[in-house]
Amino acid sequence: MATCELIADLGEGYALGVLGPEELDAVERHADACPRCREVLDRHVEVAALLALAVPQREPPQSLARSLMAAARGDTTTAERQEAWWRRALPGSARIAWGLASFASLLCSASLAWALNLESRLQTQPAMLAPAASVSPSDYGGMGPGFALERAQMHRLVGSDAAPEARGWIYTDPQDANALLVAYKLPPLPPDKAYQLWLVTPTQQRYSGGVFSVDAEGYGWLKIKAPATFGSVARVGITVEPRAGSPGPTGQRVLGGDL
Amino acid sequence: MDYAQARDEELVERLADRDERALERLYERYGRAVYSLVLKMLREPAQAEEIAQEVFLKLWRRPSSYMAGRGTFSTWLLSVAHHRAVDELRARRHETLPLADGANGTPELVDEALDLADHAWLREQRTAVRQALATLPVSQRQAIEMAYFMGLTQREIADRLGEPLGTIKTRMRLGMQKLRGCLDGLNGHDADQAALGAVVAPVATSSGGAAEVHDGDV
Repeated sequence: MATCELIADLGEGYALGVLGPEELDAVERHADACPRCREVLDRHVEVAALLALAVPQREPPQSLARSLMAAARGDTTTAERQEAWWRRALPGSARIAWGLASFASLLCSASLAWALNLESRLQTQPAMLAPAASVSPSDYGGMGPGFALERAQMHRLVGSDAAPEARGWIYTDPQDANALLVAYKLPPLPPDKAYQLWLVTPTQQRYSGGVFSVDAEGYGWLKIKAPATFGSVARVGITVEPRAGSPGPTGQRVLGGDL
Repeated sequence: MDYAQARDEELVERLADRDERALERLYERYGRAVYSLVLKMLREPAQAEEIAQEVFLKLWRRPSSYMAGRGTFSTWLLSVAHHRAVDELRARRHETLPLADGANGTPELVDEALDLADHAWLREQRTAVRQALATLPVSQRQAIEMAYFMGLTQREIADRLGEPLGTIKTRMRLGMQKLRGCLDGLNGHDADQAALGAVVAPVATSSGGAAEVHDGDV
């Protein structure tokens, strides 16, 4: 029934999101080829979307706006740096050709270098890295120049029993050592304590990603510079440590997640 | 640029230039609606917050994914949020179904009191949608609400209600047709989006903690 009848039959279901994969595919394919039916579908979708307004309105937590803008700001700075780098390197359309050629080359060489060097880098690093200096929101800047916006992945972090309401996200690029951590609802700490992020490899080695503090609402963030790309990090955890940080985790784990 | 008065489409265009104020403004306009929808569907504030952020970040990273010719920005944004929440509901479907708060597991919408914190425009829209839903026969409204707010497929709704699949499809189709008749023009393309955007209740950004508005706070 790949005709306009299909839309007449399934259009409402499409707008409500109740179609199965095959029906959905058939509707989409027909609508792509039939502007009139696409218009009909769009009208159905408009009506369905109005249902969203029927729900009682809830004020989102302020941490949502802060987190969103922090993530966007990180993206922006990264994008600006990348753009500046591209402009300096290659003007105009040459970027495209260069990009295509270099992409394949980069993939090969980066993979090879990563594979060859990762183990030795991890093994020759001190058992634990010295903790990074604490950061505060006023210090916030962009990510490292190699951090690729297009490849950034968002990983959810979940609070442990010690901080069940805590949560956060870590934005990583598997091919880069820079990342951004944003955490919420972490319990406030006494002045002599801080939160410390640990990067855990598949072989259970732990490296410090830095220490950070949180505000009165438990909101905090941290720019991370890992000893290797985040492709080599299996999971992360956050513990409570002395303010200057610890060479290895000593306090209770409050937040963590797999990458 | 006057961000307060700018049309949604203008703000979306600014996103392509990495204009953070444009994103901030769009969030002020629609953050509450997106968060409220996802929260209503998922019932978990932390997850609602996560998905609401994802929705806006997706817009930030790919503003071109909104095509102005296909409908209003608010419709598109709420559809993105809805799809994402449905995905989440379906992913967890086999675990639990903690959604039921009305008879037969239907989310209660129509009888809820309006929130005074809303701005007039949003309140008017919501009143119209609720009134339109209230005009539907209970069986049609139930099918639509179970589909839209609970992310159930037609087959799942039929199984839950013990009705034939064809009956559910018919109820859904008739209900949506009636809704369209009632709501036609409410979210029309001719609406003055600048005016709409300017009056939608802004999301609080000052300090003082989240002020959750509860049903029936009137």
